[in-house]
Amino acid sequence: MTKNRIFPVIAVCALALNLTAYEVTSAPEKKAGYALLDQYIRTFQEMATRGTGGPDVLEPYLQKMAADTKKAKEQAEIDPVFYTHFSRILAMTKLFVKPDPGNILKPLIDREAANFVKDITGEDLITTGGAPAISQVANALAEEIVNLQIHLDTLDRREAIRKKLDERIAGPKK
Amino acid sequence: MGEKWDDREFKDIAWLIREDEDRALEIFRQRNFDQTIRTQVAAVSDRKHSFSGLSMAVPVSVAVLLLIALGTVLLVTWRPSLGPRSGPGPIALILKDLPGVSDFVMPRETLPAGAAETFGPARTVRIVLAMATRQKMEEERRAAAPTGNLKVPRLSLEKKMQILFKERPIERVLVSILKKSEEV
Repeated sequence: MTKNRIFPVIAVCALALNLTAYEVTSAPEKKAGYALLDQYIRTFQEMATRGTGGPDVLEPYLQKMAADTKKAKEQAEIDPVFYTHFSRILAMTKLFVKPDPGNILKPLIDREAANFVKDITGEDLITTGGAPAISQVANALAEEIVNLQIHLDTLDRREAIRKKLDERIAGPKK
Repeated sequence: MGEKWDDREFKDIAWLIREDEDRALEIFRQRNFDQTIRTQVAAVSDRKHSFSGLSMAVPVSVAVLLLIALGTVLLVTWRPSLGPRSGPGPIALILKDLPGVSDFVMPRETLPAGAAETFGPARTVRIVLAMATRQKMEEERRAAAPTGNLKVPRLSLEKKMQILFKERPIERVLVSILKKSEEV
């Protein structure tokens, strides 16, 4: 009877300790990354839900996210991989929605979009443009967001495995 | 019993009464009742006078306040002539500079083209409507503006994927923006 009572208490304590440890190890360099990803998704979700707004509405959000990304990198709240990939997402978004009267930047935008889509999804960008091309770019942006989320989720684990491997290669401590 | 009061007893009683009277008179003279009563009467009279003054002050104050309110309403709504105004009045000039009021002053250019400027209650209603519209626009602008921190509710990977690949907000927004750009 006593064993039956003690076991759940121990289990709850172990769970609480485990959760606390997770919170300690996951903060703070991951929190900023998660927040930036959430911010990006929420911005598009709100704009899509409202159905209003053009580049002038999106622009302040992109600027704020860029400033937050830079600040997070300076304060070592995000790692270099996250910074590079997320900055590319922001740059690609801005390049794609930026008004280009006279199509002066079209060759540059097409080339960057093609490279981006190829790097993320492995697809070739449809050269005819229009809705299918937009769909490809949007899909690549979404995939890259998911990739960054997984990158953050597995960051601790990868670092731990890497450390263990390094120790094995270096051999036992003398 | 059949007892009879004799003269002696009557005399005794009369003497006692007289003695009481004398004692009462002596006390009356010693304590100076006359002066005491006069003082008390004067005090009661003064209180009555002061109470009547206070009771008059309340309706007078109410009347003055009502007059001030009526005057303010007339100043705001009533204009002596329907001719074109040369400019805002002194009260309007003072009110316009007050913080909070200056935000709600309706600019003249918001009048519809060809509409004559109205006065009186119509103008008041128009100003209130303009204030409400402006306040609503301001609230919408604030809601649309990005917030200053990174603290947004955290989305799980599943939730993110659900939004990104089911709702497809990025594609919808990109299509919408590019359509608008083409229209322009």
